[in-house]
Amino acid sequence: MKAIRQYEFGPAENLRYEDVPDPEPAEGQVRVAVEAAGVHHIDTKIRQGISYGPPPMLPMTPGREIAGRVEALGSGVDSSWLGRRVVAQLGLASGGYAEKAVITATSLHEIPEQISASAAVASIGTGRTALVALDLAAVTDQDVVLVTAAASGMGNLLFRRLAGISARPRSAWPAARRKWLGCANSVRISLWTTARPAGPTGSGTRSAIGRSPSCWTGSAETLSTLRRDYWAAVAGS
Amino acid sequence: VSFGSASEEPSTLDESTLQARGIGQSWVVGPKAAPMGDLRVLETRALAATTNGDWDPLLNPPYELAEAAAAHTAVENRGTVGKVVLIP
Repeated sequence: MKAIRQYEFGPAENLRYEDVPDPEPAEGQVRVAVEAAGVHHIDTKIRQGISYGPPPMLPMTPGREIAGRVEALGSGVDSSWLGRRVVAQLGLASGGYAEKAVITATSLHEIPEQISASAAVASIGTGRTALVALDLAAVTDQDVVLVTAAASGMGNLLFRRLAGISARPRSAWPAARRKWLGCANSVRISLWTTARPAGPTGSGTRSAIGRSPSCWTGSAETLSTLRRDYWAAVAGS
Repeated sequence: VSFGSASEEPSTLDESTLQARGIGQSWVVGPKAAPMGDLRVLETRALAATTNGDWDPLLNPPYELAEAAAAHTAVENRGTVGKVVLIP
């Protein structure tokens, strides 16, 4: 099969596309023919060897979440899993950036046919963290909520879920929604000040603002009108 | 609730200002994040939210598996919108 292999920590170019043997499912594991593999921002940190936890052993195949169809079973796995569409978080074992991946059967979630592999991947890891944020924010229909970085993998889930909760002032929301969804990756807002772009250390952010200056202005205006009222903020930076 | 730092610069909120305003702060990713609880339960809820239409994940145009390096570069440069996936 084809897989991404990494032999050293460092830049993105260290991710090599190579031929490797198919992984064999061990006892209690299944092998999944991967239809979509999720990429996280933290994957880029792990690649550089600077993530929070201990760095992984090299060489490795990165990727901690996959969706696809079960194509082989290890011993002791219920045969009904064979052929089912599934999504799973691989955890520290990784191996998701590949045509095939092995995972413990108890980690599998079956995906309904109407859900795409990509949407399932977006739900499993990013989605579960988004739910923690939503639970912590405990937003009610009396709150005005700011979602910064609303164009991100997590931000858009927060935004879309929160948009389903009636919030005030309602009349301010329709236009604000579009602006925030369209350009919020270029905007950073603190809880206690007016909106401002990320500092000069954020070179990536500077370029994003450069691409969409009108978005930035619009969002800042919108925020200044809402600032007195808002109660909760869910903020990326 | 702080959920990320794609700008490479975590949000910095002044403790005394937060206290004066009665604002609590929490994190869901990074070194300050609290334990997430039962991951299996959260995953099931998150998938149900997608199935039920409570949210509809925004997806960046997918990258081919062979383009993993390009996908990483785009994520690092904030050049993506929505979830980034590789398609073998």
